[in-house]
Amino acid sequence: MSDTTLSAFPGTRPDAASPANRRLVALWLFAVCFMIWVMVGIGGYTRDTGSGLSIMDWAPVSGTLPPLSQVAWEKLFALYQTIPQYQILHHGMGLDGFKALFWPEYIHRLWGRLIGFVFFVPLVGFILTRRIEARLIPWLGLLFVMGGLQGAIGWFMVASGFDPNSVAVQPWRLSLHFSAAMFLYVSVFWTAMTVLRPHPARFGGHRALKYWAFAATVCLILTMFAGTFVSGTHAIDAFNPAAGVGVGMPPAGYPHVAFFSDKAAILFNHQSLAALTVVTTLVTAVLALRGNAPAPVRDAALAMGGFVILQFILGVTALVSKLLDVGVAHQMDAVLLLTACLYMLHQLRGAGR
Amino acid sequence: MNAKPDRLLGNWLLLLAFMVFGMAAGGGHVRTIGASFIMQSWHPVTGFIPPLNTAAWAREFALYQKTALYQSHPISLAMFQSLYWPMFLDRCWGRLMALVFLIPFAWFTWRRRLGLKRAAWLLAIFAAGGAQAVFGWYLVRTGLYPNTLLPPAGWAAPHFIAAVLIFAALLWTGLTWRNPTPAPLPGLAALRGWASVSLALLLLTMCFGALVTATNAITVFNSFPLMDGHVVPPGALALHPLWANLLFNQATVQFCHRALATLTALTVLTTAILGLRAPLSPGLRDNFLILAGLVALQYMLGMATIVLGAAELGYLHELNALLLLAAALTARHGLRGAQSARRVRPHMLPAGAE
Repeated sequence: MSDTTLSAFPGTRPDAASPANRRLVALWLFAVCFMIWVMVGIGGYTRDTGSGLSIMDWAPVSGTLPPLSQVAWEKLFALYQTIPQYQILHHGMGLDGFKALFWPEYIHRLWGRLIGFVFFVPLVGFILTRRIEARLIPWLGLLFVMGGLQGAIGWFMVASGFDPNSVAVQPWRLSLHFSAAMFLYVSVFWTAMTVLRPHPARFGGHRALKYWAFAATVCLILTMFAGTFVSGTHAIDAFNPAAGVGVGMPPAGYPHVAFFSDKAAILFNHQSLAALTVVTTLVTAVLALRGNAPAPVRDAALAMGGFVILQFILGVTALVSKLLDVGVAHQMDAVLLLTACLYMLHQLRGAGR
Repeated sequence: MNAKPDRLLGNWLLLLAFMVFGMAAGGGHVRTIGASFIMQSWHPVTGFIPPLNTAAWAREFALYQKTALYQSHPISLAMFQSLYWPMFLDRCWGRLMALVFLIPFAWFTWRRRLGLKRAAWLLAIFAAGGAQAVFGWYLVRTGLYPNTLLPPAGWAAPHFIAAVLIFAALLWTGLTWRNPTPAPLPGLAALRGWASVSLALLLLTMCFGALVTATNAITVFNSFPLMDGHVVPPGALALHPLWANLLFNQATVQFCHRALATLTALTVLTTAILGLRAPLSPGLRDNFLILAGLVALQYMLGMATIVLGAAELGYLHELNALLLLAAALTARHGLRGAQSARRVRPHMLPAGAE
């Protein structure tokens, strides 16, 4: 109370850790999280439409503007015509077809720049007006650098798609790109939560719940990692219930198979881990809802339960329908589920003492 | 209500409800293995005696041989016998239910434990059960119609829906007799509304589910979420008059079941989330947890059934529907005492309280 009263007077140095300032910083970081979540959707869409290779160069600053003249379009299209994806998949495609491939990738990159902007400008503003705690500055600076690095990883990934006879990027680079995105998301979200509530509310019991929530989160992260390879190799193409592929049984010779390139093995890895995640997440949710956990923990449990059920349904739907938009929704819901897990873990920091 | 709690009477009705569930399990099994027309004789009282010798079996087999199903798909006597037993056991289970009803009913009436109103209500339920048996018999007799290889939708669906309603009546009455005066639950009127809507939607979805089974619509549009690439299937309005599509058109019936199922799942999940966030007794809270779990399972079973076109999974889907309905009914029953917060406040607070 006194903090906010003081800072309201002109000339008084505001306390960087005042509740009002912490709320402001947290709100800003949550907005960045939201933008990363949207980025996951755009990236997934770019991946699914196979348009990730449509922009052949990486110009971090000048690439902000799309081609503005017919000449610029022709130049870019001519560049695209040199890569194997064009020769193999899209030979004879017109400029309109190229534009349809161009826009998702362009918007993905533009949104990335926008996230950097929304991260950097308020950060500088908060530092100058001393609304942010000093201990956060190096950490957030590091996250900004890592955000830039994520752009570079993205280009590193795209560049692998120009290899001879290649029509898509290398799966492990796609996995790296998504994993780095998730690292950034988790870091920003956890930081925002901690800024909002620096001191965990202590309460007795719920030690077991904490372990379960942690196990569920670990399972989820592993499942998401395995999921990047499903997306990266289009392993969904291998789904064939008649041949017993993708229905829950290990493929022949498993586990002595190419773990990260055999499509049937990739599907099996993702599905088994997903089943494990569903079970641990539901156990966590039921434990939280049946033991008298604090209200925020219970709400996290409800969100975890709801999102994991939705996630399973979306996953099965994507598999049986091969609808790519469902795959994008599946990817975005994974981030929501991860958010619910992180929220519960954060609320449980003070448990079991 | 005036009555005092009577756990014994309530438990008796819950046992009968459980037996109706068993009846549905037996009947669903008979339908799934294609044995609906297998027993072309009905002896309501003496029928508990199975065919005991070769002559008796031959008589039963000869009756079955008159059905269109046999004439298009002849089977051996051994096969006939193996299909006969499930149907026979289901009917015996029905007779057992009648005994489990009538003997305690006579006892309780003699001990004047029931009262006129309760006795009349129970007799009405019993009459519904008897009518259901008669209806079931005429359903079996449709096997003698020419070209009728499956029970016609107009017979099969009402047979299932009637069983569901009897199940619901027994369950609700049993719960009420165990706990006739609900404790007031201030501020939960909205939740009770959600529970009521969930219940209504579940029943409606189950009606269309029964029609999906009855029209054998599981054989078409084995894809999800789209129906062979369409949101609304082609030919959904092919039949005349228009209303007939809602009952007999495989595409329309399946579409309605899918659309309603999604709406119902979302409504039930919302209800469960609202219930789990409300201050409820541990029992009622667990009820909502079970409700959420069963509705999620039900949706996944439905998806798997249609994608694989597997009647066996459809059978599990049907049984889980009854469990889900029971969970929704129990939750709604637990909320009978819900009151809107605004109306209740003056009565609830002691004089002088802030």
